[in-house]
Amino acid sequence: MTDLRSRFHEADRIPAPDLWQDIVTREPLGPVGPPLWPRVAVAVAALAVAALGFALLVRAFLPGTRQSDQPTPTPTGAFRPEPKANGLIAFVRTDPESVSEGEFPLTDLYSVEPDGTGARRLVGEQGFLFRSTVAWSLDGSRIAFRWQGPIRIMNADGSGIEQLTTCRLPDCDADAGGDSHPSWSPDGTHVAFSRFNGTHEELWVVGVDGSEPRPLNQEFRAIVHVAWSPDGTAIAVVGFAGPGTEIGPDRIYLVDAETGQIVRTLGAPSGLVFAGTMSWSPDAQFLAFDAYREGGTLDEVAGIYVMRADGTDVRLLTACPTDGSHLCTDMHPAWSPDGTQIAFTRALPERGSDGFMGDIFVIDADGGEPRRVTSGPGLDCCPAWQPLPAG
Amino acid sequence: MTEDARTELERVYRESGERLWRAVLLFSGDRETASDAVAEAFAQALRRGDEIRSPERWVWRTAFLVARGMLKERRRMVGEVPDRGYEVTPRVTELVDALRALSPTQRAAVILHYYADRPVGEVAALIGSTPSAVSVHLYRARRRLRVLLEERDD
Repeated sequence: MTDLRSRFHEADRIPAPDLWQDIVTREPLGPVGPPLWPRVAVAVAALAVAALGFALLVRAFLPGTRQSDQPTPTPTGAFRPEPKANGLIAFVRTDPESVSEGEFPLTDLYSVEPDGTGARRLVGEQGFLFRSTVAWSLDGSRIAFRWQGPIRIMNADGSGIEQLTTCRLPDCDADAGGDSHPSWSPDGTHVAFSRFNGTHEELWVVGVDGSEPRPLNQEFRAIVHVAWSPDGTAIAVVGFAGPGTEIGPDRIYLVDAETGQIVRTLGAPSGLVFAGTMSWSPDAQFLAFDAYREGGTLDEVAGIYVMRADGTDVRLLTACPTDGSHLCTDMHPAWSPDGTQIAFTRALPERGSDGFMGDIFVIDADGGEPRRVTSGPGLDCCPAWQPLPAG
Repeated sequence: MTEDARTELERVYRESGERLWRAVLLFSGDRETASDAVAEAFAQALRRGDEIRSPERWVWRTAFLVARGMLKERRRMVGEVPDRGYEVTPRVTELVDALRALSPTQRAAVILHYYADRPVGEVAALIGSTPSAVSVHLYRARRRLRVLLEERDD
């Protein structure tokens, strides 16, 4: 899209005024800027400190528990995931009527039964930086999410929030994205995530007790999604890797979980462009992803596709119907732990002035009619399905 | 605030203030809004001083937030970039007119990505969205702009 980029840069010819004198003498109108550390952050920090202290006490007195100062073993070899049953669906709810200090609507983290009952707010009023992938631990007991820079983890009921990563310059730029896209290792010992360092994004790994954070791969220019493979050997990254500053179309990269080397690159299937989210099937044989058809008409919709993990057998699973008067979008696929269904966000633009509001839907992994799970006031997005022990 | 923080903020302004002003101008279509939003963002940053860890990103996000609020409040889009004393090519004017046809979120996304050269993930962080949603916003904005700009070129 070089032509559009160069067209935009023709604006560089517009002479800009020198505002510095106005800036230094100006009395700011008010706190319109993004909140730095709102009161809830203080509460979260206090909770984290309390939880950490309690955890340390428990670990000190319970035999057989791992001490937090011990090195966290790195994942080794293939992990054989046990069959799982479907639990709750966690998702991010944005209420357009609740506006944060920064003018964007506030977002809450919710959970809901797959049949749409029992919606419950787990974490509330987290501000507009909350939207990101939410990741369940493989035993379904904890959730990793990002907010205000670092990755945090909490219990499935929203209690016991702890800060997992420390986002500080120059390694991590919280104001421009910070740590995002957490994904739990199948053996439960590590969390992979993307880190924005001010110029580009890197793939990092950290122990679930916060120990040994380290960059696993620093070749990426951009990362928009991270998903640890169900067998634990690879981490799938949606983004773009390469030298230079240019960022090309997103690809799916498989990164060796131990060495950090990129072992396979999957470009988008012919005619498609990756939109940014992907999900492994529990048996690691298939990938679900959101994409749109480049070169289609304006009314053509973005949809959820499924392909084999080697990039073959691509099929469209669902695409939001359009009647020509409005556009809608299916995105953010999340495979169910038992492998039979896929949850996703169906964005229905006609419902919001912003042009992007929608709900969580579920569809059988082999197709069929999508079923509505939520009916939120704004955008319910980014579902993540809780794994539970089978049987 | 410390002298270091003020010096750093002035450096950010000297390095990226003009580009930010033009980006907000493309977003708002209004010189006055662009100047107000950029000045307000930097003035707030000056007041917050050392609290801000990454001033450049902070002022970019704040300037767009301020401009968005101003537009909402005023309920208007002037869209006339050329102003007496400013030389602007007709192609830029056409671009600004075409941008007016996009939703505010699409407009912000496309400007931050194609003019400010921010990657999708950072655009998502700046406008409070997800990378997937930003990708779709960019796709639709691109399609829409292509149609609108081709119509005008004809």
